[in-house]
Amino acid sequence: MMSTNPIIANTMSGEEIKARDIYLSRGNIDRLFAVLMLLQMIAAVITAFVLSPTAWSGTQSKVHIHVWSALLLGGLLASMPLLLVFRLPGSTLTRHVIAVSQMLFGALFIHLSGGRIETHFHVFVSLACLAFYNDWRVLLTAMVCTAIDHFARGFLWPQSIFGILTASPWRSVEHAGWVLLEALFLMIAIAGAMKHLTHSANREAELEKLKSNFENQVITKTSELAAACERAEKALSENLAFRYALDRYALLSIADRSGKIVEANKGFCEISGYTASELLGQDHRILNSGYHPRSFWIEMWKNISSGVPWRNEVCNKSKDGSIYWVDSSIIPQLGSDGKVERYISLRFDITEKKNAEHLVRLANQRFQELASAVNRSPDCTVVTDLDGIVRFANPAACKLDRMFGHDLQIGSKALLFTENRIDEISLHTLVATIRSGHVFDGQFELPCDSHEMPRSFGVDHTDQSKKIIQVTASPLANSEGTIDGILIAKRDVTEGVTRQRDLEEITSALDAATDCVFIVDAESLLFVYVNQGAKEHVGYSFDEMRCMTPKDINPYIAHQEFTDLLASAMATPGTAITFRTEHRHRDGHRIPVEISLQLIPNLGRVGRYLAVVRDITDQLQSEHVLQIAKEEAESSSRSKSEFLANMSHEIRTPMTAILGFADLLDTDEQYASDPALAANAVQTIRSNANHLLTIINDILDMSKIEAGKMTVEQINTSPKKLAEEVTALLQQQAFGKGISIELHFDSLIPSVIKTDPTRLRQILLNLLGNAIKFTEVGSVKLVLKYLPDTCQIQFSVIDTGIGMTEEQCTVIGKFSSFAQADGSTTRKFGGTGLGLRISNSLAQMLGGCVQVSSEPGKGSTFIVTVATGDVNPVELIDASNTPLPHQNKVVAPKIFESAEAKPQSLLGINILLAEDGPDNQRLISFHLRKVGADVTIAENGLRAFEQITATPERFHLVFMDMQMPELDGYEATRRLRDWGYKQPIIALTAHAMESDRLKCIEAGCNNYASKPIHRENLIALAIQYASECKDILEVSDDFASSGVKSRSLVT
Amino acid sequence: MTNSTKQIASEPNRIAYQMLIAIWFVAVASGFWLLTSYNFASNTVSSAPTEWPTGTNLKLDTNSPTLLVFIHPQCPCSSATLTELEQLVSEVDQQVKCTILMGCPSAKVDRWMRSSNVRTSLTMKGIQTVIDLDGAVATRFNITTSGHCLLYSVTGNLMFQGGITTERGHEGESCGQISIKNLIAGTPSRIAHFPVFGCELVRMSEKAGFTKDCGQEALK
Repeated sequence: MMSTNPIIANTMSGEEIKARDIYLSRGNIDRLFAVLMLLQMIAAVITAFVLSPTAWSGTQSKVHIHVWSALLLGGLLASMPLLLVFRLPGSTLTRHVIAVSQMLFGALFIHLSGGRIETHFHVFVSLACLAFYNDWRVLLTAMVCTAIDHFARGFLWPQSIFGILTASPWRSVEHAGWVLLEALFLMIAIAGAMKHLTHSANREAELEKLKSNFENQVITKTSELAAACERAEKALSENLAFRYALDRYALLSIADRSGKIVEANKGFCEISGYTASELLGQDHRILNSGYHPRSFWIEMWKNISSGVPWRNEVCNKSKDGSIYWVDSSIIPQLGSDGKVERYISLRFDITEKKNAEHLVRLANQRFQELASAVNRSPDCTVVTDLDGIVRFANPAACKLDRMFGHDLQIGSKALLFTENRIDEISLHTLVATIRSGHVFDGQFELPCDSHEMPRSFGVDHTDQSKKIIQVTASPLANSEGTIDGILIAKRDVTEGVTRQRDLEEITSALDAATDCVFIVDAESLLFVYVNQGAKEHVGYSFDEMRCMTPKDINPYIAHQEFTDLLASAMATPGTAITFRTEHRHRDGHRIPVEISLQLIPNLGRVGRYLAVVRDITDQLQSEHVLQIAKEEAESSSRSKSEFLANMSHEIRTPMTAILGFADLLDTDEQYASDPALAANAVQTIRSNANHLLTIINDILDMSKIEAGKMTVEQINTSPKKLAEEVTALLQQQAFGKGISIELHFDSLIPSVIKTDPTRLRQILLNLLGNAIKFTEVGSVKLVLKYLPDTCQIQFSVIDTGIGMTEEQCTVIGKFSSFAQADGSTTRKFGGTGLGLRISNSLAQMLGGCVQVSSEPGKGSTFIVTVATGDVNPVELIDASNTPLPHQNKVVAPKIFESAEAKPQSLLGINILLAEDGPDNQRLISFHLRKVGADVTIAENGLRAFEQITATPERFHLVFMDMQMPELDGYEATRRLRDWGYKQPIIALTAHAMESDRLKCIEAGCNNYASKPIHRENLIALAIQYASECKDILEVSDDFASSGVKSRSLVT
Repeated sequence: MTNSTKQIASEPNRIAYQMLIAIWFVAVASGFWLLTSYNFASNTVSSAPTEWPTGTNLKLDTNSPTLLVFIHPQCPCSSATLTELEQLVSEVDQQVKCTILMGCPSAKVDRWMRSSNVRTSLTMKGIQTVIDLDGAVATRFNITTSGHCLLYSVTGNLMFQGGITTERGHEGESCGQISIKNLIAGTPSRIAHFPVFGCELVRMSEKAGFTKDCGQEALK
């Protein structure tokens, strides 16, 4: 609110205004001069640069001192005025300094321009500019400064003023006169300006005073007007507030005497949905909802028409058909004639109140229904306060509590709150849960009163004196939202819990079972139970399997088969059907299973299938292994039987020839008389006997190998020499078949290896012999190759024979005993089938093996590898350039050549033959005597001992059979050696094993010869040992060679 | 008046300002004194031969006195000399043979010949401008300062030597001018010496030797 007091303006006098204007004007001029100073300084520098930029000394130049003067002196001249303008604008000091500086700038320009006459105008212009200060003292200062400069320079450098040293003094007067003239005019102008300024200031002061008075009047009037406006606004505001309240909270309408609406406020329009224009002219029946009877309205009109106010709750209908309630008051307003002139109707919206009343009625009705239902419910419902005092209990609760000897009464303690019913912690937890606004759910095992136990309960309780009560307690809040009660729902769950425990025990037992148990609903075929084993079996959790059927884990079974199995189980409930199938694990692998399936009819709605599944993976593997073993055993048995049959055949065949030709020689006269026939028969007998001997040797070797008694030596051996020797030995046999035998070297080979040359020779002879046997056309090659990586040497026997099929190779490649590529092989080519087995076994003993590859019709390749042994450092030789000693030559064994070529002589040698067999006595003595020996026969060991000890010098050599009656050869030899007999004793034995040889040597024999006795070997041995004891024999080199010796030992 | 009152310095500040102004004024006065001193500081005037030297291609005029003016083409102070010379020659009405010798180093002739001094001299009537290559002529006449004028009589006797400006680069009538005018007019006078205000001329190198006038070239 503005003050009503007039404001007295603080007006200035004319002098004050003048002083102010002068001050402001001079401040502005100061600023103009400040700018001018800067411009002059810049102009001075530019002038110096243009007119005299450099000073020269010959060809050398430097910045002219005028440039530095313009910059430094000009800057110095401008600096002080600028400082004062900034710090003290409008002050006297400032403008006097500006005057001095301005005049000196003129002097500077005169210097820089070389005294050009035009620059002297600067002085006059400066004075004119300074006159703007309207201060004659400033002009005086400027003139004094100019005068000082002029006269000082004139005094010091007189020629600088007028250019010549002897100028006329009148020129100074002339210069001063011009300056003074200008100063005079300027001062007059200043005086005029100051007078005008004083006049203007006085006029302005008067105007200010008038303006101040006028403003005071305006302020006073404005204050009065504002006060009036404020009162009017207050009244209007109150009126608007009243109207707003009426529109906001009340429904107002005014009707004329006939009931036509003449006014309706905003609230009335909003609630009715009609606009004011729609309502005006209508009567209130437009809002009639039809709720009230006609008598209601008649009663109303009766009252208000008689001038009596009327009030009631009225149900109206809005424009959109919705119903609303109003508390309506109708006040008749009487006119001056005493009659009702109009009706003022004031209403309040009570729709929400009426709705709430309706809801309360509905709630009460539903509460009554609920209470009735609770009372009839078999479930126990109790309502207590937080201390357990019962507010409500239904009959079922009363009945349950009686079983525990508790009389449930309104106002008494509820069962759980009575002492010693449940433990303190549980009760505290219950109450705390309720107080926190949460629901408590728990089970309590309570002792019951045996007198109240119902006999028909029918459950086999483990403890008949206790019952398990399921309690659900919920908090009850009052109307203020505060929890002040507990709703307790109780139920006897003893039977259910007991069954649940039983079920858990069964489930635990099933989970512990090793078999998998699946229970499938017979109708939906969904799994309803699987034990732990079943879950692990298929890799699914039970939650996953709930949505699966047996087909999901057994997709391999045909649908028809699956359906038939279920139908069978359904047809014979309680009877298990066992079958085998496969399950699919979650990770996809298949599991062979054996399933025992049966229908349990009394489970579920239509029964359930129980499937006990057993993983039979291990069982199937065991069965498979057993089957293989059985088949192998049968195969082995068949092979042995076949072998025995073959052996029988192989042995009987030469025996037949031997016996047959022996009979012919004995009984047939033609054979006896014809020497050629006799020789042929003898040759036949010898050939078959040799064949028989080969068979026996193979059998013996095989026996030794299988008995693990075969031993090999490790001596230095030349593989090259050995290969040459073997090929030489078989050269004649190959030549006889019209094929060649070749020796090749694929690489450098060691000159010496450590191996058993006898066994290696045996292997190679066997393989090369087989190759020659099965080759009709072409050649047989023996190829040697050194394998340094594995320290082995490889002998490949390659033929161009009949070859073998892949199946035959497989059979042969197993190197099983008695196995041949074809059963007909024996019949066609002979052999026992032991040779390869022996060769492979020997090769393995020599640190290698035998491998076979073949192609039918093209030939076979047998590769023998043997270890080279410890021959480090090994000397490798290039054997390929060495010609084969016997290549392409027919070479017969030397022993036979020697035996035939050189008649042997044992003349003068006395030999004692200890042999019990008369045939052998005759045969051996015949051979020995034929070469000149004197043979004495002893029938047994004892007789031999007696004869030798009787005449120890008589016999040069003793052949001692090892198996004799009365005293065997071992004991006889031992006794002889013990007696001191020194002469050689050669054992004769049918046992050809190495252990037998060692046994003979241990007994004291010098060597041994195995039966059957080979004539040439026998003679060679006799000659060898006879030469040692008597130097009467000339023994050939061939007979003394180790080859012959070795041969004798193995044959 | 309130604002103006506030602007007025307090007593201590006023004294400080007055002292500052005094110092400023002394500095300004010193500056002007130094500047003026520089303007009136003439170079040492060398002595030219009293008779026209032999061995120079520069010809002595036998009909009228010969005025030689040695100018450094780049010297800003010598522009006043040229202004005064032009006025002098015009005043004596061509009674003197005036030659301006522009001393140029031979390596910079093209550049130096475009200077304002050369351009001004070329516009001056009755005055011959000659390029004094490497200052050979100046050396022969023993002249060292730009603006140095020599006046020889028709018989080759030196009548005048010195400057014709009152201070460095400052135009205006000088005693030198008056003296030359008098000598040309025939007024007998002793050989006068006047100060010369200008830059140091280009001089021939002593190493190069000096046997004859070389590089002399008349521009006009």
